[in-house]
Amino acid sequence: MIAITKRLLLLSPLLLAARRAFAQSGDAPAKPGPSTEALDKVAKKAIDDYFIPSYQALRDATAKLVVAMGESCKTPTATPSEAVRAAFTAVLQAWAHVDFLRFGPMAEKARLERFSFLPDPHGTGARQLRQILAKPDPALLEPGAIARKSAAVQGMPAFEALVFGASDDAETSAYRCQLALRIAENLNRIATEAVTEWTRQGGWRDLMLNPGGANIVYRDATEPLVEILKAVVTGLQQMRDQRLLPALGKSIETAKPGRGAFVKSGESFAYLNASADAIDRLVERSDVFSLTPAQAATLLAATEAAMTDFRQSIDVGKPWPEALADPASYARLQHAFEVLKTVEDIFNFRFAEAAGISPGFNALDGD
Amino acid sequence: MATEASGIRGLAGRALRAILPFAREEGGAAERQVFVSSVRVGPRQHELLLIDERGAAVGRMKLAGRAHDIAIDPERKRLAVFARRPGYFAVIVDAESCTPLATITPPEGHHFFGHGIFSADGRLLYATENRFGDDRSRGVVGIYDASGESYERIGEFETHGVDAHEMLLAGDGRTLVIANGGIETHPDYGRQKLNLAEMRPSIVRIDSATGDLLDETVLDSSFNRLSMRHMTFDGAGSVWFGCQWEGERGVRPPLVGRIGRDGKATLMAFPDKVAPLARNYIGSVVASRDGSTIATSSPIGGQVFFWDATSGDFRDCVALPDGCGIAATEGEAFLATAGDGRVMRAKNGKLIPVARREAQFDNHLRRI
Repeated sequence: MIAITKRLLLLSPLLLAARRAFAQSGDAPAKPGPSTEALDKVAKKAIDDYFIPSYQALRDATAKLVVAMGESCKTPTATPSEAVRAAFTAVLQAWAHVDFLRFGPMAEKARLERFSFLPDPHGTGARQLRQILAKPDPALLEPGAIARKSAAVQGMPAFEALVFGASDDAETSAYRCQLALRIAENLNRIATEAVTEWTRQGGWRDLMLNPGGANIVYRDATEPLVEILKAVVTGLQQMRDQRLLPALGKSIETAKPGRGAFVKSGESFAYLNASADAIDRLVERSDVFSLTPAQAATLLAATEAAMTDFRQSIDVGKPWPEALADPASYARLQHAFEVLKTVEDIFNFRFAEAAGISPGFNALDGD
Repeated sequence: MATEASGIRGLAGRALRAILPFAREEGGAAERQVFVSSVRVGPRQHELLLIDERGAAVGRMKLAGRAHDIAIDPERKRLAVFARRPGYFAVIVDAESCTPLATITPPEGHHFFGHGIFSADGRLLYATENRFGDDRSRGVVGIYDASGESYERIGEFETHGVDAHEMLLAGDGRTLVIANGGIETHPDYGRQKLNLAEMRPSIVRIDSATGDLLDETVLDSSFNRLSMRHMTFDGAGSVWFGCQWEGERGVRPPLVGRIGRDGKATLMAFPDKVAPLARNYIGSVVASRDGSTIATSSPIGGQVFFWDATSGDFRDCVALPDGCGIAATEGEAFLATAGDGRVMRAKNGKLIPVARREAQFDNHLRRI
């Protein structure tokens, strides 16, 4: 116990008065937050103009992947057809628009992990896939069977490995193709469930638009908004810490390109670009800056400038693995990494300060 | 609480800052309670802030990054401020002058988890660490020599789990109680949770003299995704713990529990009406001075929940948005802090505003 006496201060009335002033000097006024109407409006826009259309796009893109894959499996080839590649790229882009949303139906029933088991630092997916291919079991090709396997082998990374893994083993090619088709169907099923669970009566849309009362997830009008702000910040952190950092490492000497996202299909940069578009689009379509009218133009301009800087920085004109080995490109990727921090600061500080609503300091990311 | 004379208050603040911190006079009778927390004061700017029971600043110091918990050495009036996970520094601070004495860094392939404690005699500092250099991350307790000025790392204990988080020193001055949160992380992937499907959290007791595992408390396998992270001792010496749920969001598992003398955990149920308020997340777990009351905060739920330490019953709760830091003041009263800078006094199920600082209080508040 550290004892601190008050006597010293009591010696002088002047000091006592000054002490009172000091005690107050740290007292910051509480910022009045935006009106309920303004909050509701942003939540509704985010849901109807971003979240739901994005899940619908994912559902539609996965449906096309199923068709392309079914077609392709009639004559399995070592390298994927153009149609399969294009359909996969479309799914990847649609996925980048929702994979940072850690709430709602996609965050339930392990749908997120099943759709894309990333990151996978222990290589669980690759190991399990090897085991499956070493002893191809026809039962696994029954409709719905893959959904009962581990999350690591029923989603995007497994599909990517099967289709883009460049194995010309003729013996398993038909099996691989069928398995990839089943995974594509699984992706479509998960995305369809997400859309249904968002849009059905009493679904996540209703939950988010009707906070308070018996609603146990959103208790007042600010909570859906906080969810949206957290989504933006989480999206930025995901790009930075989970997609860039593992590959960048501490220096170019320790860079590990293989740890990037969707490297096998050569889609790493396309995916990162789509992730940046997702943040832009969510901010723009939700009109979240309308909650701080005086600052809206400035904050939007700052966000857009930073995201443009990000896109230009990652546009290195080289495939991902080469970019991480080339000093000039590596430096640009590092810059892109830093830029994402500045965008995060816009939401964590500048917006929070101006609008009086914050993604939370302790609440954002528990410990 | 607002004051309009910002020019004057700034001046007065600066003038007084030189006088106030830990003003001390031999023979003085009146004691002032002092509390310490890490705070964020701007974008990526973090400080250590010492406040009194009225929320007034009595000391502050810049930090290299975001910190988490603070260990206190009452013997030599030192603090050990641990960086938030994945943490790469712990600053030893002289509490009275609020100046740094030394900075400890974990060895290669380790990072701090944000918690630690001094040994009873203050000669050793224990820190929970992630040993991530091997194939699988695992929890260890790093042991640092705090008897001199070197703060050299002199050894480590296994925590027999992953994600070692808060650590307590039992009343015998010898037994370490450590919560293994069970969530695997690796700094190469930031704070991403890597193993939710394989979680197996535990609370272990370790003999600090030998490093031996004395016993281990685990929950029923249906609660594998219930990460036990923060703890306190109640008046009877039982360990209370708080959890975060990593499973389905629609499920409302109990989040607070107590470990009995037999080493078995009993989970304490929230009343149905209250259960949703916690948002499946408990941040700090702190016992009152008299040991009768346990306060558990949920920054995500914006609530502080109080429990009767004897009966284990839920008592009441108060709303404190983004509130996480709790420290016992006197009797069954607490001081609570929030991410929006508020300092509140909590007693008998009521929350009384004390001050609002222009700083965002981090997860843990400690009384010095």
